Amino acid sequence: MQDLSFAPCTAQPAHSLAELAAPGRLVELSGRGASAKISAAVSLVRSVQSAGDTAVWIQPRGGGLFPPDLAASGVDLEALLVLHIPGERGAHDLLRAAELLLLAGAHGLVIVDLTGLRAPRGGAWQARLAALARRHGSALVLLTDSPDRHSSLGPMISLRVAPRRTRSPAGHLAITSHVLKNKSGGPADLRPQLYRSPAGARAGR
Amino acid sequence: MILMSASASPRLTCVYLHELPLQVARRGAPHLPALATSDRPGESGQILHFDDEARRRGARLGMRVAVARGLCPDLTIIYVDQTALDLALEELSALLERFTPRVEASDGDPGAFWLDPTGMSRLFGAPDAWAAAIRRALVDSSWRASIVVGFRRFHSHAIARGRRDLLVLRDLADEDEHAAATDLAALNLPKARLDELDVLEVRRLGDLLRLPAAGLRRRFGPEIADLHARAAGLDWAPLRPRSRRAPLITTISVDPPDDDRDRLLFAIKAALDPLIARLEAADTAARAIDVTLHLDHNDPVAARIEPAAPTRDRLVLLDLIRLRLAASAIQAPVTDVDLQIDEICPEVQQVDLPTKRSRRDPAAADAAIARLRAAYGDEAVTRAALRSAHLPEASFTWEPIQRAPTANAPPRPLAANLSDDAPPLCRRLFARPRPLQSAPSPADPPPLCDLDGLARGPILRLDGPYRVSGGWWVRQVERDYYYADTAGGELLWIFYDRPRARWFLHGIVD
Repeated sequence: MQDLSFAPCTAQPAHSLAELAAPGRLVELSGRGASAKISAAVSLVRSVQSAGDTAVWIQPRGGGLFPPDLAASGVDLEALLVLHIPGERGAHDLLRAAELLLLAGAHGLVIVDLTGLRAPRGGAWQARLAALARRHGSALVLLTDSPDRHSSLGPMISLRVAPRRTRSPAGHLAITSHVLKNKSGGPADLRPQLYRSPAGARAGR
Repeated sequence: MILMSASASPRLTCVYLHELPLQVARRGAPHLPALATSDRPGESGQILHFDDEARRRGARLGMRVAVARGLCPDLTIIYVDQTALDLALEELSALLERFTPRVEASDGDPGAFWLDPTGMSRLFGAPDAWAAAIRRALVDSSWRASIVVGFRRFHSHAIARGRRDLLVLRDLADEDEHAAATDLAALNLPKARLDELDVLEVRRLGDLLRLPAAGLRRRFGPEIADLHARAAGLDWAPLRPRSRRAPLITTISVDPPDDDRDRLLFAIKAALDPLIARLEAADTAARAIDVTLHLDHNDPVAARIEPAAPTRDRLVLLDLIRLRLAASAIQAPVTDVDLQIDEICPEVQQVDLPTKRSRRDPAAADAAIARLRAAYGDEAVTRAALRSAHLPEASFTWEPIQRAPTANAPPRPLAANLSDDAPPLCRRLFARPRPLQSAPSPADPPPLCDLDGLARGPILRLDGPYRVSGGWWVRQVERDYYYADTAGGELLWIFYDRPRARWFLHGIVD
């Protein structure tokens, strides 16, 4: 786990992940190892719900979303639509489901968990999804396990962030998000978000 | 206005449409001067019904069509087939069900309906106002009917056959009086029997009732004996509310058998149109469509497709069928396709005030849900519900949903400090715990190498145990959960299964 030297009360970068992942953007949250993609994505869900909008989580059938952790994070489970997409075509089916949802324009945030899946080649699907997201003011977030040194999924990815689990010398947990790509400019790092240990672990993990 | 006292006998109403085939023909040709219907197509048919103008020009009951045409060249004679009659009865059933949910269509006398007005007074007022509303609705739809608000099945039916207006009977005695005055000729008896009775000056139902029941069957045959029994009230039967409408089913024969989804969709489209026409005639909408594909030498594939809201929009229905066809595994060529529409009266949606409207369209969200259910199955579209259980995998369930969840009140704010109000890190749970390399005891954690294709490396630190047990009534479960820091930077959620003496990876903090 990477050590982080930060103090909660010192000056911090002004932007949070929720502010950067604005409606109409195609966002990629990537990383492996000490990554905190799901925790970061859950914070986006919570942010969207706080604004009175709805969110959708798309994962393959048998995906790893663990609702008790979402509830503990303050997510309204009743208002969160979760799709479990079967299919042998992997990421293609998940992205098609996202397209069906974005066509309706009825949700403010669509998260597609592509972890462990190979995204389709070519940028056509990204262009379609990005256009739909822009048209309906929805944010589309793709979770991938690409290492930081690899390029993003494609040219239409507007924002790529690598959220990492970090710990201060005092043992406090946080997620620091490194902006790997931001087509609209902006900061390279985001304000760390403080977290606590998951249930069943001692504080300070 | 007639009020119904609490102690009165329960009401029963008969709505009778005289000469229904003629009315069906007249609705299709409202401007023709003289109109008659025949019992079969072609010149050999016989005249069944005719209007006043046709009678004036010489048409008579039972007359050959060819003869009638000879007498009256500009007489229009129409054969109303059973399909047209069924459609008309469906439309009438749907119309009458707007005034009471308990409607029985007569099997033996097409055009006769019995209605139960119980409980309708709060909506329509007294029985006479209720009946007048029915009559207005029928007239507005170009139907002519007599309506008798009575008390008994046979009596109200007989009175309705002998009249052409609306009658609300006060009590049973009033009903007896009106029934007794009904002309026997209005009761569809064979002409020979009517002539025999006429000789005895038995021309009304009351006259018939005065005859002794014994010997009627022998002297006048079963029709008269049965009529006497029914008029005497010996054949009481409860109202059997049921729709006259036939189920909306059709079967498409695919010849030669085919498994091309586009061609199947075109075949379904052609078969869907008549079903939707029947929905429109009955003013109902499709709540669901059951599609069954019969495969050549293989088990059939069945699917139930539900739109977001009841609809008669063929494009919406076809789109959902297309999505389901695309997602279905068709193992063999399709020989037949069954379509069955589950219909329902569409609800009237309440109009929201502009201030209440969300910037997201809930109807569009529901439509998207319907498309996803059609494309990926009902179990694919869910929301989570927590359950009280000790085992992590039992602590939640996925509930299939049919409507898009709506945004509720904003979640409670989480304080951005290091207290317990900070959100926890989230875990990615494996649907089935993955067994790890065996280790001799829980104090001896497993080396983790190259699991899932990732070089996780050895465990640097282990935090635990967190004991979980449960499900002992099925089989003994005792798990010691640990969080394990790996050299690769991951934080794994592993447990030692005591009964099985094995380590498992259950999740990853992500």
